[in-house]
Amino acid sequence: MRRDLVLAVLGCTTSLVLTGCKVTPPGRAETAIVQWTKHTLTVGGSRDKNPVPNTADKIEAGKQAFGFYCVVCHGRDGQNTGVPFAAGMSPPIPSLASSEVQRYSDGQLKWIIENGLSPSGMPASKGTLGDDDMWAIVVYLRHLPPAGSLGEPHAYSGEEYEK
Amino acid sequence: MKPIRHTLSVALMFGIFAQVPFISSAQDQVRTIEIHARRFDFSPAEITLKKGETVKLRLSSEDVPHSLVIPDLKIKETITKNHPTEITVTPNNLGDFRGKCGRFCGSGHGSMLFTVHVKD
Repeated sequence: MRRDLVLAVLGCTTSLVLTGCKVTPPGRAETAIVQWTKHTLTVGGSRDKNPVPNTADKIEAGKQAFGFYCVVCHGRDGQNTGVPFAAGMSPPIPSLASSEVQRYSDGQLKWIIENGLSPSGMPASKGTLGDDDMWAIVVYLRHLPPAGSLGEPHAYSGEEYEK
Repeated sequence: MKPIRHTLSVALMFGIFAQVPFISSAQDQVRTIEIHARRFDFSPAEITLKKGETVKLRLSSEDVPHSLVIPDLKIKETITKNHPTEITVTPNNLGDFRGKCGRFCGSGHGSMLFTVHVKD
């Protein structure tokens, strides 16, 4: 029993020494390897087709659904505008207009919204968002507005406890 | 002249009162279904209607604001606490019509679903 405890403590300590717990930006090699792995191996849904059409009302529906809670991390424009911690995360929150994100297929983007993405801070939204909302968000992601054009999320306006 | 006016008044009043039972019986024919919304479900979560039947849906929330959205029945109604909303629906097509909460209400929002079955 005591031996197990000692081994567990040693294991945790070794992990911490090797990996560290301080948040630092990933290096080029790490980024390249992780990106390749996500795009080609781990992210599912590549064969799924988006049942929601690219119409103006669906883009608006996607924008509204995106506004439910995605904006807190991605900004209203999906390009991190006004999100104070976007660059400080590891990995940093990417602009959803970047090729890193836009290279995913519609099905993969929906899969990421539904299941989350590791390693990253992206949470799973299954149950929190319905299927229709997730597909509509994918439509919105393909039609993002110019960076900064929608202003900043309310959450960072400093009005949290104002009456 | 007076007896005539009297007779006319009585006849008019009789006419008004005679209409009342017809009005209320017509109203009685519209079925009302109470639907309660709360984090994170509707109660009941499904209802069955007859094709062509006019039904009143009385919607109320037990907590935060929700909404009921059923696109194929053209229903989009906000539901708030303490202020029940009534809508009238007359489905003209058979089938199962999927609805959901259209107002983000928290972590289980996406599982807040509703179904209307329309049968003959």
